[in-house]
Amino acid sequence: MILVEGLRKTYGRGAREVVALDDVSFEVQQGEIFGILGPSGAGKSTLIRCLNLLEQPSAGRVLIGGVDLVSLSAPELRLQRRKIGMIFQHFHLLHSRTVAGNIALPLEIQGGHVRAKRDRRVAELIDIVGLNGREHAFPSQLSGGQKQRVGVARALAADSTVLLSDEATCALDADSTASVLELLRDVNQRLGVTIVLITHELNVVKSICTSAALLEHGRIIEKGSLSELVASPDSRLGRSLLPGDFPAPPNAGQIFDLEFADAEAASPAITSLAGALNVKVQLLAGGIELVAGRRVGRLQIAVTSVHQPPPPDLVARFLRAGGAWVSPR
Amino acid sequence: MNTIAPSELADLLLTGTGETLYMVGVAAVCTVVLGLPLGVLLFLTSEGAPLGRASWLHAALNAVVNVGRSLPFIILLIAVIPVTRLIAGTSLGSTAAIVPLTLAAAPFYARVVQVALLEVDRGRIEAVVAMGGTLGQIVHKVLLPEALPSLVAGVTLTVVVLVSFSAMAGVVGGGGLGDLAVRYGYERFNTEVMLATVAVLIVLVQAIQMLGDWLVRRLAHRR
Repeated sequence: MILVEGLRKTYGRGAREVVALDDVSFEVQQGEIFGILGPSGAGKSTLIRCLNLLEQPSAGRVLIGGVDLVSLSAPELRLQRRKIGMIFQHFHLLHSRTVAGNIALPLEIQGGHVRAKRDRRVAELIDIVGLNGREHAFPSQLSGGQKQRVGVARALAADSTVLLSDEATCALDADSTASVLELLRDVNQRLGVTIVLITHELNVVKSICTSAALLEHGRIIEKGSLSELVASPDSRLGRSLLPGDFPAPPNAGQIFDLEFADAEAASPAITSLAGALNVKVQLLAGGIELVAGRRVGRLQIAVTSVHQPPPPDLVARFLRAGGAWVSPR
Repeated sequence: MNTIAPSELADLLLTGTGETLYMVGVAAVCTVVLGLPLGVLLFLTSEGAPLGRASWLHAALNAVVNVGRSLPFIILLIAVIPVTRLIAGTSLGSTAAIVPLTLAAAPFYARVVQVALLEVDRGRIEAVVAMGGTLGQIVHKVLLPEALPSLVAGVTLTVVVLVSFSAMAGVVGGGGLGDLAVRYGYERFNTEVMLATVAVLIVLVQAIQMLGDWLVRRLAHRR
């Protein structure tokens, strides 16, 4: 659906040249929710703005639905852009228009709709994003979460097949963030819209993305389906998707940090550890979460023994055999 | 000290007010018709705006506006007499004064428009670019509606400036309240007429400002 190849974006010239994006390539399949995660200054915004050519790439290709946007003339590009919806961190709604007026805007731009048909489509979208009863409100009368719902409805209005999200939940509180993410997942599943989002919040990737890429200093460090990423012990992105950080461990025996991408598979090893090696196992911290349909987790345990402590590598080997990744402290 | 009959004074004031309203009214309409597109073009061609690459056009428009704004009105009034004759068919009278009034106020209003448009959040323009909006759609669906309260406030400002410019219309026989104050009050030392004229001018400017403010409040009411 979306193919980005060798994308490069630089600002300035000569000695003052700044490289914002360097040889960025990735592919997004139809119906995916693709998250691009990165710290601020990594080039995320530049990257997503290159996908609809709000920023002109310095080199590389951007194909959406098989059309190379970079090669298009201005009128052709306008036609392609009408199929690509975009939502923004600061919403960018028109304050001179009501909710319904804002949602109708892409339809007016597209043209060719009679008024009644446009009104019907707007009503349909208001229903999809759950803003019934607010259609005549102005943006200044809405909460942040409601504004972003209008943003989503507007982005979808012209039957967009692709939705670009530029930090759409960054300016929202926790509840609104959750409900907007839920809405994005909903439109992805119900309407089959392919979503590319950028964010600096792991939580966003964790809760809705099917695939993700890690962007740092304008380069993609790693990418893959979320399920692959969490199952790969070498993946930094995968590791960061596991449940939280641990407090400093108490001074109690040998401490092991365990990570696993499949809680069902790993738990027999953990629970049978005590009996098998004749040790005491104390659970210090940890959690199990559902990420990309997998029950993934991270635990910290302390192993002590009344008699002779078992060698650490024996414990580690036992746990590894059960499907956990182990790092002794 | 010259005195004047009350009925004569009333007559003079009525004629003067009529002339002023005529000159300012027509000039205001022409100013908006000329200044609005000029201001929009100034904005569109500024750096980072949709036509930002046409920097030569921006420089040219900028120069025109600056020249227009730096000429003292009294000089402009006389300098453009040939143009006035060409457009209005005469170089004397209220109608003739409308041409220099417009030429003086249009660059001023263009600047006001440019500033008003600069205040429209860039993100909103970009959102419409991302939707595939054309330049025309950006102007009439985003820029003008979003800046409408400021544009109307700018018209109020410009009309008040026009009222004060119109005081000099007497030089080309344009008449009006300002001319009345100069001819009777200043040249004939008729304090009565001068004070009455100034009073009418104050009321007029006050009324224009109140009307403008009311309109802006209404427009900005719910957004």
